[in-house]
Amino acid sequence: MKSKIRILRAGPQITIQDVGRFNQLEFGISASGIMDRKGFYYGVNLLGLSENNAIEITTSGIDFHYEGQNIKAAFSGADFSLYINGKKEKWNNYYNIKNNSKIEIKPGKWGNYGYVQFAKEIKIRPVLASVSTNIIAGIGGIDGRALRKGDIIYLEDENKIENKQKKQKEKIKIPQQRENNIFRFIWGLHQNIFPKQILDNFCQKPFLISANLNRMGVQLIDKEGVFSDFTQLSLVSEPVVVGDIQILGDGTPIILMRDHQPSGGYPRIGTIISSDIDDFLQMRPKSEIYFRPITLEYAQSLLKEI
Amino acid sequence: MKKAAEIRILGDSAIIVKFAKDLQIDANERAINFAKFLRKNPPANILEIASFLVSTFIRYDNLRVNFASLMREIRLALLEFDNYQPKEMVRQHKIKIHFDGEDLYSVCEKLGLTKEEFIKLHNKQPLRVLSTGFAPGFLYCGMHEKSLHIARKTEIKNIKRGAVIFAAGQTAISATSIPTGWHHIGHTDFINFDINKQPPIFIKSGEKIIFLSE
Repeated sequence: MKSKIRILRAGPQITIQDVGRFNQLEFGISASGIMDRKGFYYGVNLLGLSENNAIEITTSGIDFHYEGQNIKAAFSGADFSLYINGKKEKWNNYYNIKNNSKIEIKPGKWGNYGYVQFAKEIKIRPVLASVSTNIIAGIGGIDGRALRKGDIIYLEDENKIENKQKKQKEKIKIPQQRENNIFRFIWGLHQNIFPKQILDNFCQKPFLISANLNRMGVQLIDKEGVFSDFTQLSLVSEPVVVGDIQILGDGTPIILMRDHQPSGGYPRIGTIISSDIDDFLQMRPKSEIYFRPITLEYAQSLLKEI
Repeated sequence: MKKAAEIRILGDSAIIVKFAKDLQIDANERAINFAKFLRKNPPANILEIASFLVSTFIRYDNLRVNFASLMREIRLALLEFDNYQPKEMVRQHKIKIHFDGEDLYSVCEKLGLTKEEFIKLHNKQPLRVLSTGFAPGFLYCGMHEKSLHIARKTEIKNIKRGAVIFAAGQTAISATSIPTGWHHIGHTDFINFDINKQPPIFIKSGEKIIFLSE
């Protein structure tokens, strides 16, 4: 019997992802991939695996039906309410899912992205060596689009856990809502085109996360008007990386996420550091945040293998 | 004497080597050739090398790299690159264009040309592919002679896959539907994007395109 899941209900922008489609930036394709890597790898580790792919869910959640052999499934990342066959279960945990099970995942208390993954990988044709869905480019996942009601997703026949020597589970901290709201960044490509007053204010004034957030970018509300008088020059287009803080023509700051445009000509004041990006993209709309500059050396000393 | 390249930090996992502040053809050529040069002999712990309009993008493994020694290697590579001449022939491609875009007549009007005169001048000389890194399979081609330079439009519109667009001395071909402020002058059946191939594009940066009128 082929193991498969059938989507009964899907919130917006729920996609199939893996670590990403790298080395395609020159051809106009950003890497995409798992938004919150910390949250995803918590689930990978729960299953005793080292790599996997997953369904990335957004705040309104997903309901699906599972059919197939008993399988281990991990649920991780931002907070959600999980029901397995009607029984409430703990999130950020793994369970044995039996044939003909109904899984319901409803909104939780914090965060934007969560992960559903199985001990067997999702079976889907990779595009340029990755199954990650890039909705803008229309590639990966199921026909390059978000999941919807009625979709059927098959799992691989092989159980990775049975085949591999069981990996010792590492101690990874359970995903939690970030306590401090200060995000660290490295000054960006166009730091020198901003007046000193704007640079100073950017590091002192609060910004709000807007409701306009997705896998491409997170728009901020500049409630203190840090960028309201900023007139931008026309800049030559340069490559973009995840975490780039770009200021649009009308002064709106936008933080570029994993489905970012491959290159862009808007001024970039800085780039949020890799160690803070997973927490940043889990911030919900209306959250107040601050930015703090750090050096590249310090940012690199904070990195550790996930 | 070549202008010095500038190394700029892009977050904690990448740098760019920038050859000019604005779009200049010699800087574009250097950005493309430096990417080729680095690929032949890449420094340790480099994950990705890509060329853009006037810069070479270098993404590194931030867990393994020693940043100071990476910088030394890049500076050394730039010195060696000063004497580098790529040996490969520059490939030339012919692309047929249907000059039937909705902005064609307003472009002709702005330039004071008839449609026939515009097409003749547009196709007069082969253009260089300046970058492919804007959208999947997108081709930025330049530069037309000064008399053909016009500014972008103020309004942004969605164009279809295969659209041929024109602004700022350049012609671009889009392989996907994208929003743009460039003038829509025509379309082509040629799509520079195939996800089943690696690399997924056929025409690459630095190659030449001869435009033909369909």
